[in-house]
Amino acid sequence: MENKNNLDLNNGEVAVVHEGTAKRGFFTRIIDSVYSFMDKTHNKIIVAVILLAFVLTVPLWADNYILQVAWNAMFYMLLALGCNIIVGFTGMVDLGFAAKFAVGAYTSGILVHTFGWNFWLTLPIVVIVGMIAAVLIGGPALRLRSDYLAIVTLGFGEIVRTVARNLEITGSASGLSGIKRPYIFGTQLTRIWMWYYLFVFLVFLFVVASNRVKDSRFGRGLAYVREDEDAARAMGVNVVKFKMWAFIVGTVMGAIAGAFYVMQMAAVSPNSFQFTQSSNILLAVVLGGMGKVPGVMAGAAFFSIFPEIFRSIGEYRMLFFGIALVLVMIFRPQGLWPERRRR
Amino acid sequence: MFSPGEIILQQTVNGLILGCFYALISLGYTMVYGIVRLLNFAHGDIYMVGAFVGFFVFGALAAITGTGWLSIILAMVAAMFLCGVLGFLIQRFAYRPLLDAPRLSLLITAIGVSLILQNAMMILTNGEFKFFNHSVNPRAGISLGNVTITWIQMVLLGITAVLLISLTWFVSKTIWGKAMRAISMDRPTCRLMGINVNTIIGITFFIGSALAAVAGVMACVYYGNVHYFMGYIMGMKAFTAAVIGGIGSIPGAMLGGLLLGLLEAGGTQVLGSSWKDVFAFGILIIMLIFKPTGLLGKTEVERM
Amino acid sequence: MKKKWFLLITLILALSIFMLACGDKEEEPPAPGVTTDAPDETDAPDETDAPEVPAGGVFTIGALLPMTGPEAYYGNDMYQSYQMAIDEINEAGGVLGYTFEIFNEDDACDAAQAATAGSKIISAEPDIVVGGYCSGATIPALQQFYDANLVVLVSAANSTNITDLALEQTFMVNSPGTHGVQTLTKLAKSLGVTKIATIHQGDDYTKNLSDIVERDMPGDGFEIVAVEVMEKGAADVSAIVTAIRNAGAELVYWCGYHADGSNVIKQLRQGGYEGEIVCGDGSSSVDLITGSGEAGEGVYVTSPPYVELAEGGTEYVAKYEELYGQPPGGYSTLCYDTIYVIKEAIEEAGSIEYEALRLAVENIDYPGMSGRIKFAENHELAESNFMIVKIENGEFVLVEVD
Repeated sequence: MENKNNLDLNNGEVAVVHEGTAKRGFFTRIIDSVYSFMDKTHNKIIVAVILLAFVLTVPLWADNYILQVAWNAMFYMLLALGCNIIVGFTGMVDLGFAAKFAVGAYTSGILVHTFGWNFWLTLPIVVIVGMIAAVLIGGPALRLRSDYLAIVTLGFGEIVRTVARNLEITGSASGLSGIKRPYIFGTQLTRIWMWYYLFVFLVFLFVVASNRVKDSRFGRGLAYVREDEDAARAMGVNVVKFKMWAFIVGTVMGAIAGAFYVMQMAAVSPNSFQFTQSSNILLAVVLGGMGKVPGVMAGAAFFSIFPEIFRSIGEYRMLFFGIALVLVMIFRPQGLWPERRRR
Repeated sequence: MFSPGEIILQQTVNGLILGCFYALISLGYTMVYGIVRLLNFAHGDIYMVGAFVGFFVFGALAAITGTGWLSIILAMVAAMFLCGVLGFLIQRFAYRPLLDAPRLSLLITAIGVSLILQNAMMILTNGEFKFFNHSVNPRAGISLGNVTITWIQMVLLGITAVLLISLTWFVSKTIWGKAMRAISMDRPTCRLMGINVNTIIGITFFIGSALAAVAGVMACVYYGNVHYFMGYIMGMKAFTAAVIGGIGSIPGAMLGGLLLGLLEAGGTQVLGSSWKDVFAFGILIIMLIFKPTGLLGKTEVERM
Repeated sequence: MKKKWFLLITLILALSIFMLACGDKEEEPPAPGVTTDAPDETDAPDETDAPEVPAGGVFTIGALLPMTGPEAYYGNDMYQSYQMAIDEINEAGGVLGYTFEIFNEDDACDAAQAATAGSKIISAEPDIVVGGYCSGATIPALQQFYDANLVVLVSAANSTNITDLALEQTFMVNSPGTHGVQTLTKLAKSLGVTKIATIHQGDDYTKNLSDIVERDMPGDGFEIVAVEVMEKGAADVSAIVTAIRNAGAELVYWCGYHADGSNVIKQLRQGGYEGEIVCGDGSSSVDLITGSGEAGEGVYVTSPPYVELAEGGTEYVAKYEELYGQPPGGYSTLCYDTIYVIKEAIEEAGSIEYEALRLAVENIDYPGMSGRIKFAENHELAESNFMIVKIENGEFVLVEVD
């Protein structure tokens, strides 16, 4: 809680730091004790083994529904991790992340469905298209103030959705359906447990990638840009270039997640990319604690699982969700699991 | 069939009417942004609540004061007041505790409030569409060749004009208006100078919400159906309008609203309705690239 | 450092799944997970998905419906209609010793939620699946039901994209959009108009309907002069109205839902459009009349079987209103019939086995409230159940056109 104001991006206001170390919240204490527990290497290994064993054995006892929900949670984790590069690491506001995932989903979907490509061969194309999209959106927008970046990404989100709805190649309003699922080692991925394992692997890859970015020279540059753009600029950091690369990395991650999504669903339609989707991804990132990789994943998991747990209360669930959101923000404005900042 | 001149005239009228809605709602976005730097995502839902308040008050009054203009005006006043109070309460309980927190937290809270309003209204109304049936003839008006301007449209334009002018007067001439402008420039200093910042922020939310409520009741009268997700599209468009005009600028929001309305009508006519939003957002993006502060926004130096 | 992240992630994942498991404990069947626990299993369909229930057991019906979101009203109405038929059947002693039971899962008219809802239905191991209101949300779940060997009777959704999937166990109880457009063609001929404009809402069902008009009607000598889009819940269509008037349309076909329909009708008239207005089956609802008021007079609807006008309709409406305190919606009789089709099929098959049931449904010929239910080769209804109604003096009246 040292630096309450560090995400205050651009309005030059002086925020009052109320909380000192003496007055620590309940959550903070829990999280701190988790940290100190996890600082010991042998504890780490024990927990890792237990959890890994648990995650890998889930399909042995879980039914389709639980696997589907777990898959969904992991899919949201992938998106949130991609979005986290842009929002969490660099401090840009992105209200159109669904567009990035749409780009990947449609690229892969069209290549497989219409042109009969092998899914795995579409992935390089997805990466390239993702990069092009990022440059197209980011090129003009990244020079703007952060609030304008928000509206430009929102605008692009709507444009991508409308274009997908109007073009024949994207299957217009119905989208693409009946897409052939890919094969892996000669086995077609038709069962949900296969996707479960595939996504566990993907989440692992994305986490490694996120941490690579975070701990690299590039990642430290991003943190600098986030904490104080002007100081970063003064110190010779090429702010626009750093933002651009963060935007590209985040977009490509979103696009890859989208490509796998479309293969599991075997269908894609423009309605999956509405603004609500983008705002959900952003909520997951902020709610979990911006920039904090496990926090972001917790946020994504919370996001996809909350409505499921409260399915039984039907239409009240989104109301409670809204209330929960406001309460969490009032009592934990840094997110549920914020970054422990380096002093 | 129209002559080209008639098409332009009719689409201009269509665009202006739509623009009135955008302008009234975007004022709330822009005022709130100006004063607390918050993209108030719940604002579109205030418009929705305003429409419902208008609908229910109108329904209750129908037996007493009839279904004509009198009831409509009374419903509008009631909606303005109740939504103003609602806006104030939301500000008091959801936003004020977070004014010094990271900006994104405030944004997320706004999204949360939006969810609350929408879903609470959905539960209250059972998710049904409500129909606002008044006895004013919707087709009576002035015809110029093929172009028709109905009385209702003229009244809407009139109400909007009156509100916009009085708001401009309020912000530029009254002591509260001056305080608002001062706070939008430098909140901490205002606090030091003895301005009751919280009260002024509350007043801003009250006014912004009341204006959205007017738009809500106008939508009842003009379009006739009310539903719990009506605020979503309207809110997003009004938000866009506020940015086009230069967010934080009150005349900008008015101009941006009218302009967006006209752009959409023109886009529908020229490119077809399926490309209308691409057109509107495309213009927005192109404009932001060349004039990043919006049409009337002040050039602001970021964090120096 | 790096390993720590990984640990924490796994922790979250584990916790979340654990939470889920806890939340669902009561609903879980006694021996869960038979279908997914063997990684070396081949792609062969599971035998366990249609379990043999002893005679006198419960026949479970899973319903995929929008129970929240903008279309919740219809989801609710459809569920009540299923329930009404089920109660009748159970009171009459059930079928072959089975009593019917139904549960619903919410697709919220959203593709992603529908996929989750679909797998939740599958996990609850029902004997058959019904439902489907929004075509766009129904389609992603259909493949899952196919994989799980569950017969699906789609009661309301009628995009031809459903039957284009050509799934052997999916049947469409509602007439497809092509039937609606045939009805429209007949109506347009009798009205003597040639220039048609359509307005759709950019989603699967409404766009599909508009596409069928664009594809099929020019062959019959009609000219499609405008195709416009109105976003769901958008308020203003005045610019569209002007564009349509300018295109010289003589008939406007509203392909969207009833909720926005009344607004469109009003604005068409306010905007000075004088030609014919016809609404698609998504708009067949009394709300269309209450919502559009005077502007609605003379509007036609190519309607799914309109309950008040069907044989025995008045009793049906009375019973429904008594039970649920609201009039039945546009798809009510279709849902009601769906349940009776299932009953017929079970009697015919003499079993509730997947294959037997599927064949029995395929060959069904049931005279329902909504019309004759008999499936064509492609699992669409063989005979159109569309009728034309017209709003006259604030009521729907049947219009006969040949």
